[in-house]
Amino acid sequence: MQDRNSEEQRITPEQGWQSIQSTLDRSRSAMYVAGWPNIMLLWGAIVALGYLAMYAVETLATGFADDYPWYPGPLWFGLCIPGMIGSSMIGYRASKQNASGPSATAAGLRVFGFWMTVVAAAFIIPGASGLWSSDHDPAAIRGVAIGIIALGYILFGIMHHLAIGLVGIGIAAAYYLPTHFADGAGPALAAALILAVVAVAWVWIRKSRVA
Amino acid sequence: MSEEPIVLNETIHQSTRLRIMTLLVSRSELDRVAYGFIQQTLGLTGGNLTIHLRKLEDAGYVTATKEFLDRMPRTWVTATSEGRLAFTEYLGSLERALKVTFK
Repeated sequence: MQDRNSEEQRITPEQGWQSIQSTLDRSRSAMYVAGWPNIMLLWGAIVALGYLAMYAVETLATGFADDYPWYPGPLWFGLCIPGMIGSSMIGYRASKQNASGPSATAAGLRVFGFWMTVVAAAFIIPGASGLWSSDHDPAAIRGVAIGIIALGYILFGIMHHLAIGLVGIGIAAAYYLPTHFADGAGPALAAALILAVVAVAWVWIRKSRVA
Repeated sequence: MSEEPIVLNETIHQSTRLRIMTLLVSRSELDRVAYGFIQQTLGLTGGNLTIHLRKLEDAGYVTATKEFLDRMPRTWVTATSEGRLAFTEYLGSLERALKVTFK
């Protein structure tokens, strides 16, 4: 039975070569997406929480928002710290369960570096563009930051797994559509939709055993 | 003068085992790969993976070690030096076979 199975799986040299190439691609991507669903869910929750907090401040505590227009900076900074610690722990734990050794460590550090760059860019680019000043609408900062984060998902998805790219498109749509069409309630609706997008993606990925 | 016939290592030149060896050899010698990770990445059933790993172990190309991680049993698989050498030789033979095919 075993030998017959092996006979059935006999391959030509071309098939062997193709198999090597596809396995290399697949195993590299599998290392990079280790723990990714939980990290994505964590950041989805953080982004939703951040926007809900901003929405609450801008509607319930307008005086505070006027007195301290720079409050989103510390708010997001405070939210990002548990996000970074949490994603490092989830990523480390997931990669430890898949493989151990220098290659696994290198893959983990590369993924960590990628996402930290995306998060840093979401802060730095609006700052460098002068959007953090009180002359600008805070919604512009949010719009740029969410665009950079969505771009991060899309780029990571193009490199490693299409599903991640789709989540990026979902996050962008979940933010931009309500912001443009739901007026004042836009940020709150966007926060809820972002959380819904990552939750649906998490369930789908878990069921399809992508990562 | 006749050319030497190209012989592809029968243990490696098989759909599943070739993929297992590729996955293991693409990591450094100090890396250990979890059994579950191989199974999930290559989309294999537990029984199928066990059969092929045993064949590779019998040839001395891989080693499997069991240990507990967070109180859960875990099997780690590594390609041996012999397995890496056999895979390198296999790649050489495969390259020659491809050259003959596309000549």
